[in-house]
Amino acid sequence: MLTVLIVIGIVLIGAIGVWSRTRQTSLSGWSVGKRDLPRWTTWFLQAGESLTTFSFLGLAGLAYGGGMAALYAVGYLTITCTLQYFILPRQRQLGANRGYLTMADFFQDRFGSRALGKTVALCGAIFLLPYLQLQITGLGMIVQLATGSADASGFSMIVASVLVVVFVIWAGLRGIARVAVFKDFMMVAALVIVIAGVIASVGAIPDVVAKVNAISGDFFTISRPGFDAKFWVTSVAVTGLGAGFNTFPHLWPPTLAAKSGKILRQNNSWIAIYQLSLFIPIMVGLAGILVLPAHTKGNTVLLSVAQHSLPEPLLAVIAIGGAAAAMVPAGAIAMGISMLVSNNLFSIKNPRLRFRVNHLVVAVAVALALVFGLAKSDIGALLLLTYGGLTQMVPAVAFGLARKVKVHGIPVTLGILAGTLSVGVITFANISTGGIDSGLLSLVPNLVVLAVAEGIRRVAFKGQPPVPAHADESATGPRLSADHGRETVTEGATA
Amino acid sequence: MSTTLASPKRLTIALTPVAGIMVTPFLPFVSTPTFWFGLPAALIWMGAMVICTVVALQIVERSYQRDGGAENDAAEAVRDAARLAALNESEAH
Repeated sequence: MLTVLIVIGIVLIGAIGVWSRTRQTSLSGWSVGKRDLPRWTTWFLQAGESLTTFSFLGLAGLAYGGGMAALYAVGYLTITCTLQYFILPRQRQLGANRGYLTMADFFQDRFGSRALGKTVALCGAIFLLPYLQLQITGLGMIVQLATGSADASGFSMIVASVLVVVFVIWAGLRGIARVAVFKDFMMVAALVIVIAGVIASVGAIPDVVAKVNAISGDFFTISRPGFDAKFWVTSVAVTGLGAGFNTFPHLWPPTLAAKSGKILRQNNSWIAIYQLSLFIPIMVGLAGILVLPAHTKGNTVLLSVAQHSLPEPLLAVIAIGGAAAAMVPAGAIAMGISMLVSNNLFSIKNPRLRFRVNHLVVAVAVALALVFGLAKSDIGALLLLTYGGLTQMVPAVAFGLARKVKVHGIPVTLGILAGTLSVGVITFANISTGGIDSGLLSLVPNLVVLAVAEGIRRVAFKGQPPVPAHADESATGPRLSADHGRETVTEGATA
Repeated sequence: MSTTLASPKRLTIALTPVAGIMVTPFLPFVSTPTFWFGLPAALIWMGAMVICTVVALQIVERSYQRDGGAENDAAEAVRDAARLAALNESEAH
């Protein structure tokens, strides 16, 4: 019964995504529409990153093992709002004026370097694939924990993956936006239900706190092994910087599609409020210390506590909320990967062919993530590269936002490659960093290589401008918007 | 203040709660188990920092609007309307 309810919920989510008579038929319309998304649509797309499978599976587990250190997620997401308040309007302005469809377009245009655009597209697509798998695997885990059935888990993953491909291909960003609205309401409802269940079965929150304190006061400091002050400062800094400078490729379409910079500013000035909802999974994680066996796996804590305290129909609501929390980011990530590959990596000139290849990449990316997920392949290690690797683009984003770009594209490319290589070596060679985040540490070689290469360029090519004339913001010559404009003219109408 | 959104004064206002978040583990009421109203002090502190962030960004936004931001927004809206009109016209053809 529970499995049936959950599958019906997942199908409903997919139906909301394709609930439109008009199919998007151009790459620009599919990804950024007419760049006129209203405030609330943009709000739900922006808020999508606050409530994800991590809120369901990861945060409660972090609180279960690290106590108040789990608040680092509230910290970095709040810092992200502040940074994005200043940065997103500028990215949107450049995107509207110069026709960006992807993050890689921004790099290619601002630095006048195709090599940089392709490097960013390749790194972005590779780093996002494990993130996509995480969403699909997370969905399967939520269903398995709720139903206790491995078969139901696999079946749900397949159904959800097919639906994600269908609604993303059919409706593009607007489809994702519709599901994002549903997801946010379901997530908030699910979190309220879980905390109500905890209060009913374990006790009021102050009682839970007092009982956990009787076990160990360490849970209320940021000092448990692996979750100390060094973890806090470096993790909050690196994740806040990466997200704040918008280095996640799948988060660019909502920025570029917003109707105005004012909408992005005003949304970011309020959206931090969302982070208060993350206190709920943290409190559930603390309750887990009281009711779950020792050494329970972190990712299973929230749903195990829910099973302990809630009847089946309410468990179904929570599982559907969790499924939505996986399907919205999965759709956005699949879109992000496909845009980078079809628009930047392959650089296909024919708009119709590019649009078809784009759809093919959506299906291939989701299928790959599903296969890895079903086979339980451990590409999770790659996920460690996702945050640290994408953060290596922060210096380049910062240089690219300036009115006049003063650094050449090749030093920026070399810096990104050096930083990414450093993250990879530290991660896969298991080099101890003394608790300092590898992404933050790797910004050092990134900046050193960038500075040295730029210094050599300035000496060797004295007097030459760092970027070609057409990359100048005030240039009237060829730029990305011209290409996308032609595409829109030739095939921009909706069917 | 300046018509530049990220002016030094506006950045200082906006980054104050950021500093509060970064120093959280070093605060005396976080480095030892402390409780306010039956809740962990760290949790209350982070809740306060979230609220402070919203308040700080509201102050920054109003200051920007007052000092010329409203005119910048209006000019952007005119440019975007012209772009959208051109796009609609090209689609109609």
